[in-house]
Amino acid sequence: MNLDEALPGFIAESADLLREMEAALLECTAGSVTPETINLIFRSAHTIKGSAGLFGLDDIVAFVHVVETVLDGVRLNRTAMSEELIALLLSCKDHIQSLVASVGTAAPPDSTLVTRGEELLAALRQVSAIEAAGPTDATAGSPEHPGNAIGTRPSTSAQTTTDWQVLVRFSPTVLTAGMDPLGFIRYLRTFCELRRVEVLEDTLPGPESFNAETCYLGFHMDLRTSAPRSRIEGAFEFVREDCTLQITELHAEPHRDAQIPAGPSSPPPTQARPKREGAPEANVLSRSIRVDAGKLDYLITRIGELIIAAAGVSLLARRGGNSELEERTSTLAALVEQVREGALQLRMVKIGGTFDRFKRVVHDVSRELGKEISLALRGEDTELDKTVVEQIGDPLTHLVRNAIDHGIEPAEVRRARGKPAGGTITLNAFHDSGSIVIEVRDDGGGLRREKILAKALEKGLIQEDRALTDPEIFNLVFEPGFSTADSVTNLSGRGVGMDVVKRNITALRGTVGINSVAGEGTTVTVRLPLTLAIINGFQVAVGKTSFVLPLESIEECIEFSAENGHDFTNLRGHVLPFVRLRELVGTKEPAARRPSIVVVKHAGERAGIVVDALLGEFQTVIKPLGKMFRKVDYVSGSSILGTGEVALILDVPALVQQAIVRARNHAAA
Amino acid sequence: MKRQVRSKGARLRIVGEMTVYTAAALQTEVLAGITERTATKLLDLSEVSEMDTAGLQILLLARRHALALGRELQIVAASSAVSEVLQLLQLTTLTAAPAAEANP
Repeated sequence: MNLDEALPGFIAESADLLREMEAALLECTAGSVTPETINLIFRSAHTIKGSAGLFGLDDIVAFVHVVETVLDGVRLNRTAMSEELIALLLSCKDHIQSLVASVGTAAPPDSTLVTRGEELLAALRQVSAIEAAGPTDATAGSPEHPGNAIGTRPSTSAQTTTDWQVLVRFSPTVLTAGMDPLGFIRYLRTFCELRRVEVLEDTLPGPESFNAETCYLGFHMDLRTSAPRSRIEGAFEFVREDCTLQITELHAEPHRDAQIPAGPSSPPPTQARPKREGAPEANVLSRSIRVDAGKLDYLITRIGELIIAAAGVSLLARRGGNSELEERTSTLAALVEQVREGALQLRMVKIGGTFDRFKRVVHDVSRELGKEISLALRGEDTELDKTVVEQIGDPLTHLVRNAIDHGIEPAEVRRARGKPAGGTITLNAFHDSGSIVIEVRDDGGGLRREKILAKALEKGLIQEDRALTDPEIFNLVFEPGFSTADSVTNLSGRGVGMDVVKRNITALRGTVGINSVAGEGTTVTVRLPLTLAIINGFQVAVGKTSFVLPLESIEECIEFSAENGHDFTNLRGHVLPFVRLRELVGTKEPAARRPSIVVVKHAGERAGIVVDALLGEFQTVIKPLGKMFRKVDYVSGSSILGTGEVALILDVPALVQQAIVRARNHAAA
Repeated sequence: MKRQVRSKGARLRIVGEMTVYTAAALQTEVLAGITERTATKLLDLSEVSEMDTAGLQILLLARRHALALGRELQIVAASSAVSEVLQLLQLTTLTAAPAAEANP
């Protein structure tokens, strides 16, 4: 194996392990310090150390070793998993991450990283030192109650065992020498737990060259025992000359009486390739493969082109009137659609991974501010496009920080208001008519309406005489340069405000809204399109120009009617405001004789769009708009039709908003 | 030496020791038994009195030979001596679903 080629694998594996480690650490803060969790943290660290050793990454091995030592103390109940220790371990996890990242760049280690490592090591050694002194002091203090030592649970749960990996191959003559390899394994079983045995029969020849009296087999065993290495070696004493024996320590649980080394002094497990522990899980995971994101993006763009090309072909077939060709192209179109869906599915990832990141954000920020805050996650399995996931992280982080910083009140205030002292941030995700909705909710004090109004007036964002609805006022916080924070904290109020959040989300073709109930909390709702690449579109026309609407946002299409000249119609007893696309476009072509209304929905609001003709469904490959069109507020993108013509994709949220505003102004006037 | 392997239809029964002392003879007989007509061979090891590494090798060889011929070899019965070895080496899948244990 070429190690350089395997290095990206190591980096990816470490990233996974560090994520697991972080998740487990955060689980501990939630108050569930179970042996499994501790073991998980330990195993993550241990596997990283093992792999790093394989690559000769001594810095990482040395650092992780000390972390492992401390974790071992926790595992043996010698050290309590305190809040401080968790915070320290989280920092260590970050440091390991930086170390691994610096391996990838092949740059010389930067000095701040080195200093940081030394600081952390010093802190870790201090923990080890306390733990080394701990039990002795405790037993000395209360000799008659040794079981009451602080932070020590009864030692029955602590097994002083070690896991070993034994690889043994016997010489071909061992059978004729009167020895049976099975006997050695039976003997091992008298003092070891045989956790796994694998018969290595790769050297077993075919029937032609098979000699019944020659030993071909080897054995690969995972043992767990409290006996030392020498005893395992001793088991093979009789065949010492007639076998190759390899014994590797898998993970050590040092003896209670052994001195815990303060530095990296134990031999790194490099004798054999360290096996990743938890093999069964690894097998399950290996059903998925890592694919370079660039390749996936390439595939999606090609499929986009394929859809356009296929649309062109079917158009030609229709025009040519060749029914057989038409039939074939419709089969082709169905297949292309399936391929498209499959390809887009490849890009879909669960949002849970992104949500998990916030456990850490909430932990760190609430610690920094001295607030007690828990994070509730809902809808983690909701899937959305990889690109969206990647780009939504920063805006969401900002929203979460904001909620902690400005949303949740200090504990005293909460108690005075009759709320639980600990605040809760809820992240929720779900699908809704072709978009994904992500909610960031806090149970804090809510937005202060009057304060926002005052600030907006001061900044000249609104005129004094305008009557605004509550949602309108709340949404002012997304205006550039708006911040009501009384004090500038370390977290927010640094000028990077909600306006940036809004800009980032708009760039993803999404929308953001905020609602709040005084004293009960605030909910920020982010709506994003499920995918950024290809959508199911519905083609409409004004005059000879085609437009596309996302199919998911369409509720129905109805015949045009209007309440005597007003810009709304009666839809089964409800008022439906509409916009005339013809007016927006400003076409001079003669009006159609029978226009239609397309009823669209966004964020719970309905509106109609009046068009000349309905042209039907259409696979829409979204192309970005040129700079010229950036200012056109009812268009969100463009697409290429089968004929090669360009169709503009209408911005449904903007149109709905426009229709509602116009209807209201009209009603007010 | 008297014949140790009895073949009857799909059933292949091995009687007596499966050790280094009998392995050479067993090799020929078992392989021949597998090559015979039927596609699936049911291996009856209920009358095997003893099994060592050499015996195990015969079993593994037989399985490999059957696979090479595209046939299935299934252990349908095992004596306590055989079970002990299979359990020790965690080869119990041999008895359950031999086809799943493909060659490395």
